[in-house]
Amino acid sequence: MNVDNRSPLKQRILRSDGVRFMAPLIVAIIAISLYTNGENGNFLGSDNLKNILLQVSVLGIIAIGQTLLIAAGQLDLSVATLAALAGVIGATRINDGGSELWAVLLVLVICALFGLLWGILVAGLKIPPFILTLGGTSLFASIALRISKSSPVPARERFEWLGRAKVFGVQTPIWYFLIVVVVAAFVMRYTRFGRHVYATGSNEEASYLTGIPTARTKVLCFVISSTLAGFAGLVAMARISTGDPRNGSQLALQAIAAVVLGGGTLAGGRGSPIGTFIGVVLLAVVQSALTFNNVQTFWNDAVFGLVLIFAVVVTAIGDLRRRRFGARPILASLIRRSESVRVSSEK
Amino acid sequence: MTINTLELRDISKSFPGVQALSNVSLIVRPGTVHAICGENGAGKSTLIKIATGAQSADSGLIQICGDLIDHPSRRTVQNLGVRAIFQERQIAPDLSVTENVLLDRLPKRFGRVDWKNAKVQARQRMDALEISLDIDTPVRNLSVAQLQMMEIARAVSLEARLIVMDEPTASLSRHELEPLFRVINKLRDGGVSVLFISHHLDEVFEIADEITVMRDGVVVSQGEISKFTPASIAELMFGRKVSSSQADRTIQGDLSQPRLVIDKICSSRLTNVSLSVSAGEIVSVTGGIGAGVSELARMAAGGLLKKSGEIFVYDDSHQAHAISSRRQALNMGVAYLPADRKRKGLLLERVLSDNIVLGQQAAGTHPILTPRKVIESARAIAPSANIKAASVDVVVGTLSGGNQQKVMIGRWMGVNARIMIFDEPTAGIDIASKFEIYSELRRLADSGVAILICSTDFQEVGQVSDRVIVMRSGNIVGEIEGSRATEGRLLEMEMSK
Repeated sequence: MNVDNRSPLKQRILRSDGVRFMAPLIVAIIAISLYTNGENGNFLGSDNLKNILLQVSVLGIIAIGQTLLIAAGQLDLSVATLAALAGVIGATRINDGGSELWAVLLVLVICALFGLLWGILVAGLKIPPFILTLGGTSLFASIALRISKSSPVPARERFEWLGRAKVFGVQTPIWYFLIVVVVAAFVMRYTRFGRHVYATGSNEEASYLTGIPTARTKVLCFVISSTLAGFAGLVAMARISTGDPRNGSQLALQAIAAVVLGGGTLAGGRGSPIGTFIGVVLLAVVQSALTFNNVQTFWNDAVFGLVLIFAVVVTAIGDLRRRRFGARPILASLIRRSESVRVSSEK
Repeated sequence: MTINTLELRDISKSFPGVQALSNVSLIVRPGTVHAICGENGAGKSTLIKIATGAQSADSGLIQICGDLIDHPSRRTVQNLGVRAIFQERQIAPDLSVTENVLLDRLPKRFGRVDWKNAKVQARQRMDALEISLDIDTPVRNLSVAQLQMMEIARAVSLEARLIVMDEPTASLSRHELEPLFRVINKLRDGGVSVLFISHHLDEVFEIADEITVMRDGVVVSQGEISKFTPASIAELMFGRKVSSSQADRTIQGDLSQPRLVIDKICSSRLTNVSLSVSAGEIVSVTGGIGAGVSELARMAAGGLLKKSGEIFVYDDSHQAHAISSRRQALNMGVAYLPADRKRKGLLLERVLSDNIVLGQQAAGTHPILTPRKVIESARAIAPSANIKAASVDVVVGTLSGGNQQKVMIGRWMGVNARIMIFDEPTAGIDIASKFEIYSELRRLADSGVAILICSTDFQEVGQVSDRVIVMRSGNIVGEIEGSRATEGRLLEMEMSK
């Protein structure tokens, strides 16, 4: 009986999901960066790095919300148009008078209520979130167009603190993104709520029968995700001082892609904020590298698609191996390849 | 001499590690109803799967209406007029009764479906068997009993000569049996034979002409029903006059003060079920498939809505609390261990420690949990639940069934559960580990936990319980002291109305 012992530290690190999913991404990020920097010296300059983070901060904030949902076995496709709607409402509000803070709070409350609605419908009526939020996508897009009368709404106030101010030389959107990542990482790892999210996503029936408030957990995930999407929409609006109803229609799928790159699976129970962060950065680095290397822009989507496909195929192969050969991640088996071959030939 | 509808001769079949059938012979005569009885694992299901071509035998002969079948398959057997109605319904839920009855032979006219004709045909089938069903309703709206009727109508519409039914009465309530028997009689009068499996001996005596009793893959007795009595069949099924296997036990708790009281609960499956369990006591509820014991377990844990009645849990100061949700039950210290651990109990892809602390994570109130605490409490619980695993980092899906059940038990030891409700505590667990689980149950009871076991395994409940409550079709039909609860006695109680 040696339950008291955990596996040796080295094995534990190699087997942990974190290393399993993130190490290859980090390797890819570094490789792409070094290559591009070699071709064109400015890639690793602090300006470009900040620029990369700035560009993905909106996507990143949305992706963190999506991480919670995916970990709970859910999904929300409507976050992109909800973000656009949030920008439009924010800009319109400020033009009608009132303080910036008031406009921001109003938008966040509206978004939270939409999240609450999705959550209640999904958890209460057991509607598949895919279809429900697909409907929401069209709904939000339409409302945003109606409010803005189909054209971008220039904001009277500049929302400096939301989109353009710098703190320690770094623009606020980057700070918001980082803060959201750190807080989410803490919540998912160290709080009861975070553990309930993973349990619900791993096996909802078992969690419910154990007594975990699965419905409440799912509703909270939707509320948090929608609120974050609203906030991201405001940040996007503030960066250009304009609420654009057609802004960022790709964001929802890119956010899901980032979560999956970072180790999430749509089956639920997996995904981490830190992994999503790295996934978002990888997407941004790839995009930026394409620009730096003068690749024509129509390849962008193709590369995005290939990165995603490659990532899920590698993950699937890893899972298959795990099921077949026990809990041995790809990385560890690569490191100990010779050894494992010898062991299997002995049998 | 008449030709037998079905003749099986010296059928043997083995699965890896198990001899499921050895030299089984069976004859079904035209226009007779033949029952197969036996315990779980006696080989009844395997036998009818072979008879219907769903599985192939290792050796032996199958003759249908005098024709020797060389390579039995579902299709060849069907074409000879043998139709099977399995427990898993074979229906298209969104199509109408007409379509389901005529499924692959809808009448066509000019290449399109001739609906008028189809309805006439479906109607005729129903009328011939005196089944009253609206032929236009989607099958989704039918009750279990009606579905069965529909499946029988379909079987007959394919010019069946033998209809094989796998436990046709298992999911029917008492008053739904009568129409089924009427249809079976109707079939018999029309010269169709029926071969069916049943757990309920009184039904066998009501409807069968001949009986085959099986045990451990062999036929132990066969013949006309008039030669048997319920008691003699029970004895044949278990292979012995079943005697008490109980060790002496003294109950540790205070039996005058119940901890879990179920008061007249009703639901779609249960009618007026009342029982109580005290601290330190192991009470089992048992019955055949369809008795509703599994529903009762889940309902007692707050995981299923009831129509009426109350479930009370008494706290340590003897204050009663009514339970209406799973979460509320959890807060009162009610643990629930479902039969289907893999799907309803464990987070299979996650590690041992995550699974053990799940109960604490559900019950606790402190918002912050550090991974270190998780590991520490998992390490503290694992040895006391006797879990055998290399470490607490092992993925739970890789553990054996017995160990997985101990993980479930450990989960609830971690929250000091006061009442533990087990649904089939040893389903899917090998014999050796079963006994470990039994002693685990006894230890839990001795430590003051009130234990309710819902199990369809008569042998098991006789072995572990202080009291056994017997159910049938959602009703309690009797109660007996654990030390007197032999398999034969339980079977007798379950049979009597």
